[in-house]
Amino acid sequence: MIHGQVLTTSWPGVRGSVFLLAIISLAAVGTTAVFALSLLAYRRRRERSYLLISVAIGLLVVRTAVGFGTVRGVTPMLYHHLVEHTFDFLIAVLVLTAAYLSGAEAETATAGS
Amino acid sequence: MTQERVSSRFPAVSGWLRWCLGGLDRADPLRTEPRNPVSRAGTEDGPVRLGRCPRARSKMGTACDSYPKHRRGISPEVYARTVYYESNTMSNKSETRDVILDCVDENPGIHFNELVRSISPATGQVQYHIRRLIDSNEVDRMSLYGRTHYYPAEYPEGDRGAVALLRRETARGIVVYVIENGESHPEEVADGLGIARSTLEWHLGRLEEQGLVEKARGDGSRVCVEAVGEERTVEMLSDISPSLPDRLVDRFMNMVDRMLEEPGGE
Repeated sequence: MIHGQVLTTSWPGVRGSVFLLAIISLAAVGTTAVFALSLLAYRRRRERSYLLISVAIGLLVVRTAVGFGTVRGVTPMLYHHLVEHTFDFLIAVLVLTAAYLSGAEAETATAGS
Repeated sequence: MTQERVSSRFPAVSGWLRWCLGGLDRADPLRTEPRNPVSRAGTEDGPVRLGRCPRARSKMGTACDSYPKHRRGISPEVYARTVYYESNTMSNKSETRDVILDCVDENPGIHFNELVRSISPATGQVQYHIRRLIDSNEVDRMSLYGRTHYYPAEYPEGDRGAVALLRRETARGIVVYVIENGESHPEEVADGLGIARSTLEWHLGRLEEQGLVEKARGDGSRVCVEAVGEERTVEMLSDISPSLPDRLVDRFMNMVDRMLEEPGGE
């Protein structure tokens, strides 16, 4: 609580900002659309790299949800930052792993044929 | 206090989001209930109008009399019947079934989401009618690589998998390339279509399974791809085209493959 109060007095408040809410709504629409697309792609391909990409994009959707929470005054700023930046790290790891795995799969495929 | 305000405002936001996302892949959940009773009543003896077109509800107020984008891919005759159907009461079950049957007849290999998009009743209703049509052996169902496709009962069994694959943009592109350019090396095909080798290999596997192309050892040890049964393929190709969501997923897969493959290089 104290943390939140300090922030609202020193910087323009985040809570209830209509502008932010509009941006986050756009982000929600965008990320959910891409997430749906990645899930459909995974359903067809059934490859590990596609699963990882889907999870990474899914995290983007969760990020947006956390953003919503902060603007609506449900998620404290500390958790907001903690979650967002942890997810950034996880997304980077997931995409790198996907890239690595696809390279490995391609190699075994060419070695096998 | 804030909590109360949040919970009282969230339903509005989530409802709006659901509306926005509803059109993406599934049938719009709100589409089951006509929103504007006045305009519904007006359609009874007025000119044929599309009361349930999702775009009609948007604030833009676009006219829906023309052949709308999300219905392309079905033939104008089926579309006209759908509009006629929509302008009348929704209770006539045999008519819904006729529209579905027509749609499957004209688009063999159509998959469920496409069918729902082409026909207005809610997903549950389409499911119900499809089940009835399958029970009475008028329509057949086949699952293929993560999707369910529907065929008119008389559609030749051997062509079912092939026609479903040809509905997918990249697979179709590969077949067309091989038919146009004759026997080709996989690398040429991938370069010609601008797709990654892994994308090509995945599609080639499916296309081989369905007997549309064949991998053969050409001169030396080079592997070549060649078309099988060209005439039959051209015939199938002539009357189908991939739908917009299909294209979107296909292009997403191509993008991911290229993105994952290029840094490694060959």
